[in-house]
Amino acid sequence: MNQKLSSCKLHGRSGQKVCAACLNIIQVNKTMLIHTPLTLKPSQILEVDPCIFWAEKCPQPFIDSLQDLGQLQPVLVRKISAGYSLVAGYKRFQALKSLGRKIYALQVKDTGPWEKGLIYLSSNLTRMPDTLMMVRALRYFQPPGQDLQQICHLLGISRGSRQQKQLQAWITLPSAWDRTLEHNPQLLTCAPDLAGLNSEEQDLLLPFFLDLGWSLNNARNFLDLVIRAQKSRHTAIREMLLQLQLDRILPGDLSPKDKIRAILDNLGRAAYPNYFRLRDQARKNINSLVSGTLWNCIHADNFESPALELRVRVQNRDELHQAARQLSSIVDSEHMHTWPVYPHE
Amino acid sequence: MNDAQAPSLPAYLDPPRHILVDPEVIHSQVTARVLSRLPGTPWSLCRDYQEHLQEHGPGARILYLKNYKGRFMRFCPGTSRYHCCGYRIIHIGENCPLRCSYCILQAYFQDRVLKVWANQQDLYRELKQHLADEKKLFRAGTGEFTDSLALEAITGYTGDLVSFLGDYPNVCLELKSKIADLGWMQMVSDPARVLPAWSVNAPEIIAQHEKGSAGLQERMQAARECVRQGFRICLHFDPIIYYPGWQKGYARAVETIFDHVSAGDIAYMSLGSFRFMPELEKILMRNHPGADYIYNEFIYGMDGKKRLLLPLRLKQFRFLVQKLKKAGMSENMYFCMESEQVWKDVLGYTPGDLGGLDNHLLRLSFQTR
Repeated sequence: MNQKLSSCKLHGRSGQKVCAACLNIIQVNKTMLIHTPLTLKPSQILEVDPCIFWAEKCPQPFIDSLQDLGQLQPVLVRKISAGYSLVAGYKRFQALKSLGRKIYALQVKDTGPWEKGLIYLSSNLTRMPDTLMMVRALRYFQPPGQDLQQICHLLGISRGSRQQKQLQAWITLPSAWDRTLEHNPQLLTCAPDLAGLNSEEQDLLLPFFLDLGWSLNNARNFLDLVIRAQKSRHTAIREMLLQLQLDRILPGDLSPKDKIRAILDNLGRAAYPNYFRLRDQARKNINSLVSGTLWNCIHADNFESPALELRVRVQNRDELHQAARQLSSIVDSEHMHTWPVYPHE
Repeated sequence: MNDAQAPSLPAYLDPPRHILVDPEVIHSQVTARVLSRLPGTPWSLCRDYQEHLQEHGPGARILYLKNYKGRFMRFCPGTSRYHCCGYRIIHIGENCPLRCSYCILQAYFQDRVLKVWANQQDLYRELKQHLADEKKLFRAGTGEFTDSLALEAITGYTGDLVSFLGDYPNVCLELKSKIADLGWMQMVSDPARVLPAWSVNAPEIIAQHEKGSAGLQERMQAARECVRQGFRICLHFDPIIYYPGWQKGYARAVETIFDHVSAGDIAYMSLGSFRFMPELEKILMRNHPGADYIYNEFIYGMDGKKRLLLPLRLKQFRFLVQKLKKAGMSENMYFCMESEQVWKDVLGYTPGDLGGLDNHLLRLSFQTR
């Protein structure tokens, strides 16, 4: 499939061939067009058809170009009772309307949403869709209930790929979630986990993603911890969020970064109570051991061993002497009577 | 499948929907046996495994009789920074018809196709080379990438293998399983050189998370029969799962074991807490939504695998070891993939005290009653 795609002329890649799916579309378009050019006043185009799922604001250079060179390609319209409905050419329509110019158009036959969508997509095949555009396209084609494989192919999504699975999971979420992709398209990778939640749970979690800018790692961690904390407490997500007071953190006064830290810490403590208890105790012990010295001490084994790593950064011989004296007093410290990390409790 | 021709297979073994045969093994003994024992199952020569897989789908119940070209005898992959038992794997196939929720094979292999290395002559040739020095002793087993006995009813593979190894008194073969099939027993010339072994667990874990396997009673009845026939057995408490009420469940498992056999019948027994490659986690959550034990406090161990937080593991180990010692177990208990500190803390000895775990187990496996 990919090989075909990479040599498809319509997909804008090198090569001369046109892939099967695109040929299909060309056939659809050939049979769907009425080959009588129209010249319309902007006011005759009464509506924009929902099949224009990638509608975006017309940039000024595009308007300038139309002003200088005129309209080089027609827009596509469909006849409706008192005028026309726009099927493709949204930016051209916006630009020509703002310039008060007449619009050169071709008319498509009256047809269903699937075919209109295909016509729109075929007239935009040279665009490289980003994640949100793919989601919008798939959401449009989803309700007619046909096999989305052809659409995935046209969008350049490999069959059976992780991306395809994530996109298909994403479009099961309410469309309100799409806003989160505007700022963080990587959130798509969380789609399978999000899709595994029921709609009430999805609604409960949405504000966390809308209000805070998560890194991908933190977002994954957040979802993982929500599910773990809920399972380990045998409670619904709603109750868990209340019990952990996460609903209060979100509208609070903390900075977004601190909010994320507080949320993850609360969830972590709920999901890994024994681990956090050990960690807190170890940190306390280690701090009393090395505070006020040049030494830094860490335990990096997740309590699989009692091992500690002691590090020091010195810049001259005096500091080295100082560090050596401090190390000696650390060894003899009363805090060393019990080893600071002792998971074999 | 034609019902009139349907073979009478054990309950744990759903007949495959299709059998693929590599052309090179069409005349092998295993192929002839499988095709005769599954007369109604469609089969075809397999020239391109991937193509067939696409045709049937990755989840299809396919049995693939393969001309295996890799190494048959291997070292257990073990893991870094924890003690491994050093057992040698005799590789006879991949995947397993049982449906244990925690099974690591779900993450090891990309499909669920049951693969059997049908070129036994190549296996024997390689084994002859390895085992030629009679003074060198081997403790080997077939239960690493598959259950040793789950396909025995249709392949008879283990029967062939124990028969072949009858000429090699320097190897002790461990047959690790979760089912009760003793069909191979009649092919054994010296029971001292075969160690039938069962994975054991709390009865509710077996019922909920080892779908298709034999119950603990059934496993132990088979173990008792082996003991009666002069074999010593091995038992593996692995994976020990942390779940609400685990104390009761594991206490019952220990009782059931010693209702059937005595400590002297057991060559050795391992204890291993549930641990896994991180990739397994999502697979398990997806394939087995009821397996809530995956939401326990698992941390990254020093080998990069995930394992239960140490104090929780220790709680379970101490509980079990205390019960097992009471039942007469002693230095024939060992940990699978644990640190020296855990050994010392729970068992009171370390692999070093025993002269190295692999040596110790080798001695135990060749010990006579």
